[in-house]
Amino acid sequence: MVDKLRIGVFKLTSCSGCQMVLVHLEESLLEILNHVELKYFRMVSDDDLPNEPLDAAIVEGAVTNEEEATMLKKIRKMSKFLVAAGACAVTGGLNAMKNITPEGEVENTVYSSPEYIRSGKAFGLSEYVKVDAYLYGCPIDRNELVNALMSLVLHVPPYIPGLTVCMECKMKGNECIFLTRGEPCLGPVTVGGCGALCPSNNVACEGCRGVLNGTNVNGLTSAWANAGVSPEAIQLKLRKYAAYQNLRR
Amino acid sequence: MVDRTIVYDYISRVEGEGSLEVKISEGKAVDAKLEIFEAPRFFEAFLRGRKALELPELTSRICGICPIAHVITAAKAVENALEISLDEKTIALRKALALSGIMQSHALHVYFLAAPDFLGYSSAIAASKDLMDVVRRGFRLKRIANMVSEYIGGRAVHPVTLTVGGFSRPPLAERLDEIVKLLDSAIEDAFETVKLVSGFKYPEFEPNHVNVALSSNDSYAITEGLAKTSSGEYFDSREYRRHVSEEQVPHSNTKRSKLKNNSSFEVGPVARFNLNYESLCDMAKEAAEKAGLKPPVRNPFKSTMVRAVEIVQAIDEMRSILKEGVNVPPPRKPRLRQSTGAALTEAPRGLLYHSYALDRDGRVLSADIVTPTAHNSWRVEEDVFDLVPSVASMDDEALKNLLGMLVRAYDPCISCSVHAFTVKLTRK
Repeated sequence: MVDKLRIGVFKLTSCSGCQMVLVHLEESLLEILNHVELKYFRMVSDDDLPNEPLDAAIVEGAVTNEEEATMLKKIRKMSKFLVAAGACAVTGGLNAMKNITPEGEVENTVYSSPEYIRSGKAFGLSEYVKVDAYLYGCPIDRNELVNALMSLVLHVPPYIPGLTVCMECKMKGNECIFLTRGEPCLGPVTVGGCGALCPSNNVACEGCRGVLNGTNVNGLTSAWANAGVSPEAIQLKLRKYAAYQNLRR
Repeated sequence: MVDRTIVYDYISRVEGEGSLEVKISEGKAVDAKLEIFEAPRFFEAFLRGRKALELPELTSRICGICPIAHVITAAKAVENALEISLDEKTIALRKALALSGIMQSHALHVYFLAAPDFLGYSSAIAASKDLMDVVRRGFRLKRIANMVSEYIGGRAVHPVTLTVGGFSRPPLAERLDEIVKLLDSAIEDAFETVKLVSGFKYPEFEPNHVNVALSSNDSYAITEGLAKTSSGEYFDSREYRRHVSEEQVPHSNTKRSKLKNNSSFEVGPVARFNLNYESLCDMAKEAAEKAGLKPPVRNPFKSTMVRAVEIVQAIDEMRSILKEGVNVPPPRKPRLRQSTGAALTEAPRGLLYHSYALDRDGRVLSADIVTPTAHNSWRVEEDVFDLVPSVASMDDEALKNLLGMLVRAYDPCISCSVHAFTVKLTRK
């Protein structure tokens, strides 16, 4: 019998939704706990932060102030493997929308006062520490979470498919929301793995899983513009879950 | 002169980051601060300039435990602004979705957040070594609630189908029987839950609260109805700001809500139960009787029992709604115009308020969101003042744990309120 994998679950600035996906594994969580020991998970347990190292940390949320940055560095130091779980931890998520004023005056935020930085800018974890694996989405996908936990137990890197949401949507045989309704859909440039959940529910992809490297965002927005989507609508669409990522491109 | 200060730093088994600090002098609390140290997320700021139709999706991200409540409330506020009326089937299906969210949140609270206090464990996971059947039952109830949320909403955390004007697609009719059978199968577990929590030993404490909850003549009010206070006043979402105001307190990122007579108030399961007992279904009344609960419930610790009764109510009402069919019409394209609109609904933790001003193209000009935890936060502090004199002889650790239980009884949702809790105890 090998030792159980010692895991900590941490929350920075976020809604707790990704931790909830872990709790929502329900009976499967009990099976996983045969292989994994939850050493720290404040939302469901009184146990204090252990003084000994962790095999892995699962971190939800964006870094939005110095205290969180310090905490994150501490978590990194004590953990062999660090997983950024969810859009907030990956790119800053919706929190990063506040990095941009509604008018898009990004310059104003560059020389912001320390007070503003404390509450004003949201970043993904990789701005501060090395991240070993990413779980995408708002919230994370339960199957990908189980896959990541199993990979950790087996000491192999978690498998994340290099597909876009659009490809998954096509494989499901869904009617294309952009081509049939003219609504902008971020599926063609968004990291897949959710099984095209939103388009399968007749809702355009909002890009909560971030932009897949190598996809053509400019090509997509030109196609939208040609179909009559307004510049404002295009900007609103790009400045959402992956707002910060898109801003830096 | 402060004799002792009790500090509960980063209260466990609540959603988010909060602490409680209580100063005690001569057996009385002289100061009680529910501190919310979680970083603010500025939803009301970054929603400005976004489009009204995005509000359900965006505001669901306020909370990963009660996203359904935010989605529904945001949609209703926009519908009120744009004068969109819904058909009865859509209204009913929304209520079923809301009830699935309440059932999920209550199962989480009863089994995973509150029960460890009463059973003497640090967590439900620790308890599972001895009480696997109990923990499995909690997970079963949660799973069935989530399956209903997924069935109607497409996803449990941050549902996707609920839009302004209705649903993006109706639930699959061919899965309806399976879902109703699942709910049938949950009734026994729900009554076992009532039995479990009826056996807990609750601290004796009977403060006098003003209760506020939605109320309706038609049914146990969740997504429709007027706000009602236990002093007999009624108001709708448009009148909310004339009845409820907020003030900033220095120790917290959350604001303090009060009624116009300057009193604190309580929202949530106990308020709903006390004000709307007559509207509960027969099965929920039977559950309440078995638990020995009769309105008015005054002891906040007994909210755990009321949650168990509301799980029975939710299951029975979801079944009734779903059995009537799920074929909702597609939403009509809304006519955008300059307008304002607000809505009140019952989130799992109580009254939730959303209000928006929109410009002629449907852009958000301003947003005002008040969560149940913000409504309750002053009441929690007042409870500490009321409770401490009778328990001041306890040692620091026991008192800290009791105060943690008190905070937990309100099931605070800190990410929602954007503040956090610590209990600090200082002794000379």
